[in-house]
Amino acid sequence: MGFPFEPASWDAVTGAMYMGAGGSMTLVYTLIAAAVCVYALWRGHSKEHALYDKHK
Amino acid sequence: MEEQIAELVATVAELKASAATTNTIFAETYYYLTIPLMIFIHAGFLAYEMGASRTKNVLSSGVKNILAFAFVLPTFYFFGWWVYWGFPTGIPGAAGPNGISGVEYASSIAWAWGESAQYMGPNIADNASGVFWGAFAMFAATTASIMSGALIERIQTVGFVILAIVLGSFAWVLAAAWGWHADGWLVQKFGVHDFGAAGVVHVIAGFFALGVLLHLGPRIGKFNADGSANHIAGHNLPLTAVGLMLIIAGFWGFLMACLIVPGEAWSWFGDKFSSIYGTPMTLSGLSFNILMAMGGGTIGAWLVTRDPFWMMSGMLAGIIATASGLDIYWPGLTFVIAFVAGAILSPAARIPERFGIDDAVGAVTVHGTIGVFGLIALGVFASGFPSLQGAAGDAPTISLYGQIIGAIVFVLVGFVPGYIVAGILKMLGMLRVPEKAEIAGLDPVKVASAAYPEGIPPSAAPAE
Repeated sequence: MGFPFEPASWDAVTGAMYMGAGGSMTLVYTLIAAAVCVYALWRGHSKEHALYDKHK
Repeated sequence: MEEQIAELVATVAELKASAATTNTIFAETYYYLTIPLMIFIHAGFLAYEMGASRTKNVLSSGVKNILAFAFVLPTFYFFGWWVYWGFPTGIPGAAGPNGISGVEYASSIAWAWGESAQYMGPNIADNASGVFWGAFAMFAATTASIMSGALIERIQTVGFVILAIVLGSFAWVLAAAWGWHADGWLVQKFGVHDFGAAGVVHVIAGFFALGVLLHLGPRIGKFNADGSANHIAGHNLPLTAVGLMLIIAGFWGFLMACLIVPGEAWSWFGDKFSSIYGTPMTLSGLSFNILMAMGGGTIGAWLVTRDPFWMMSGMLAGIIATASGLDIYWPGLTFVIAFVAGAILSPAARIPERFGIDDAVGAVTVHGTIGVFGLIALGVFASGFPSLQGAAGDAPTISLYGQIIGAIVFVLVGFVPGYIVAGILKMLGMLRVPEKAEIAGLDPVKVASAAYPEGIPPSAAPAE
């Protein structure tokens, strides 16, 4: 995403300083993070039940 | 002369800027340090629950606890923080009188996208949002961990994590918005005062756990056919006792984070600490009261039980029973209230058992019942105290009526979501582990490692 300020110097930074500041990537990465959580729960649930099934 | 005055003005401006910077950095550091202190609470819950589990379930209980912590953090980031700022005045989220609430305000500071994203990540001009969010995220994770112990040895891991998310990133947050925010409708209309979160954290967590327990059911072997209860001892009481002490240590960070420090974005004063309601207070006064509560609760429990588990739980109960008013109680009174809480703790914990409820660590009682006791005690002793910062006559005052209303609302905001979500999970087959797995033990069934691969050697006989 690159350094979001011109010129590429910390002297230009007076506020938000993260990668993607001022752009739409914050939303994209937040949604990916949320999707990872949902996937982890789904996958964890499947694995957990597979283990229970082995002990039936 | 004019030159000297100009020089003086410049020096004063420089000193003012320097003082403001010191205040800002102090506030940022203060909240930052509450976070690792509160992680002691989680270390404590981890040890506490693993010690309270039988050897066949030790690591499973630990995994569950660790995952609650891990999942509450991102979900509180995604939406919990927004709920806190969005709904103090209730639903649909209108702005409150202090201008720091409502859906519009929340959307401008607490979403991780758009313009508000600048307050949800590194920002050289914002020393407050991250540490304040971090402290609240720890409150959220603590709330979820409180429920965790009650459900050990028979709940499914993912089902539990979903419950932890609902509790830690939604239910308690809603209660905090209503009763732990200057614009909260419980504060504004009823003068509810709950400095140390006896209601918004402990009552919510305790009664949420109760709602879940009603669907989850008792562990196999807990109750006999005639309804009498068996004691299912954990495998390591010393570990549990140390865990409880770690929780107590962490509570210093928790209560420290309940203060608003001068010099940050939401400060009420430039020169003194306040509660979250803007009422003035000191760390010094807080220290008197926390320590007296610890002593009172422990002694009360010791007199009744002489059991180290209940003594340590009594210490926790002492703090919870006085948490609502730790900012204003007289230390002698703190001791007495905490003593009563410690004394009633063990007998009160037997009540759920009479109804067939198996709360493995007494969480419903320690946090729920004692939290209600604490909220009401403050109404008895502190009636007439202004519960919120404001001009004389304008600020709502603490009353027994208001504290009872607050307690009822907190019980419901805890119990109802817990009961409903657990019911849904039960219908989906995601709540309770299969009977065979429970009997075999959850560690051998689903944990990749063993807690004690070489076993636990018995004590040597006296002759040896």
